[in-house]
Amino acid sequence: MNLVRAQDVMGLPVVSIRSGEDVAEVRDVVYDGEAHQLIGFTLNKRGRFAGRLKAVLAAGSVSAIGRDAVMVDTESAIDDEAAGDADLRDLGTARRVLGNRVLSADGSDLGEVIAVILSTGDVPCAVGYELQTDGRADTSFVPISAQMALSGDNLVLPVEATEFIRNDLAGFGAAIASYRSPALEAGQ
Amino acid sequence: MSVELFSHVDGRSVVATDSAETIGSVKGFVLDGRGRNIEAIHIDGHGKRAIVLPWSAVSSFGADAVMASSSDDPTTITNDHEKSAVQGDVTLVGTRVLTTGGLDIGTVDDVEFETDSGAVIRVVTARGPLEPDRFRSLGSYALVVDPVSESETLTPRQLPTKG
Amino acid sequence: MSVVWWSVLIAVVVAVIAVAVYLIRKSRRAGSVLAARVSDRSRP
Repeated sequence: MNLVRAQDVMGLPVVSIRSGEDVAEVRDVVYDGEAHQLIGFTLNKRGRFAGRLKAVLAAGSVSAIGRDAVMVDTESAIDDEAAGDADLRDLGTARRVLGNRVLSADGSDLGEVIAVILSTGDVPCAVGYELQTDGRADTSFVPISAQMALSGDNLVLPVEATEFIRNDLAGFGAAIASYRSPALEAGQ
Repeated sequence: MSVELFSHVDGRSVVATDSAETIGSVKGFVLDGRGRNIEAIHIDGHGKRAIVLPWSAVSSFGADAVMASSSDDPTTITNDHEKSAVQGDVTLVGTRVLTTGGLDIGTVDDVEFETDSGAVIRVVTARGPLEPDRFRSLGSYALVVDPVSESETLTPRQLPTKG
Repeated sequence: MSVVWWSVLIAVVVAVIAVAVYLIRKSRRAGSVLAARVSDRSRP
């Protein structure tokens, strides 16, 4: 399982395998807040002074998400018009994730979301959050599940989820595997 | 049949066999879309006014001079592909190498090619040579290659190295 | 006012404008991580 922080994908070049050209750069990383799969990316033009690109990149058109680039098969993978990308074009109702305050369902403050962890396999999806707890130097990871309500200000974790919070990557990988709810499995 | 390096042939004189005139020198190469074969040699001029010698017009790529069949063979650049090459936007030497998995595996330091056919035999990088059968495309951003070993398929800043 | 004084002033102003333009452009390109398709549920 290859894991990456979603914000590490922001700013990566989008490179066509057919032409070797960098056709765009990743702007927003958009995932489904309920089923958790990656929906796609909005794009910027390449160049420090260049602006937004109208085209978007749907997750289904991504060939690979790597450390240094997001690869697409051809330059036409980035799309100006397609109807299917409504979720990527109308982001008015999408919720920001980073910086949300994390609360457990019984009302305890667990910290702040500092990263969304994505799994970059064949069907890329969000698999967890990384939290920074006040007063602690290290961060912790919690596996994502369907019962986690996200408003854009707060993320609420069901009480069971707090048992699966891990401080290290290996533990987190194991926690994802063991923390399976029927809704999570149905969503993926 | 012999093998040469781009770095070694840089600056070599290009002479027309019919007129014995020096028509230019090796300044760079125009390669095909995959970076596997030399299409032309950039022998003179810059940018839009660059002069290239198509590989088919090379009668002999010698150790001291490149012989062109005729002094009429060099042409001005005719398309964007050649223009990108002579301007240095699309070149093998100095280009980053990116796998189809999105991993940067280094920069091309030099290129070994066969002087009879103009075929690229391998490119040299700090991590080792790369064979052209892996090349998917050569563009202005990167030479895109198929990954080969395990180390070339590991993805992203594997957590938790990014702080 | 000496020429040197004016030149320095102009150079500083140009530099400040350049930095401001760069920062504005940079923030315009900033992306975020977004959760979409989150339905508004009314809570009991």
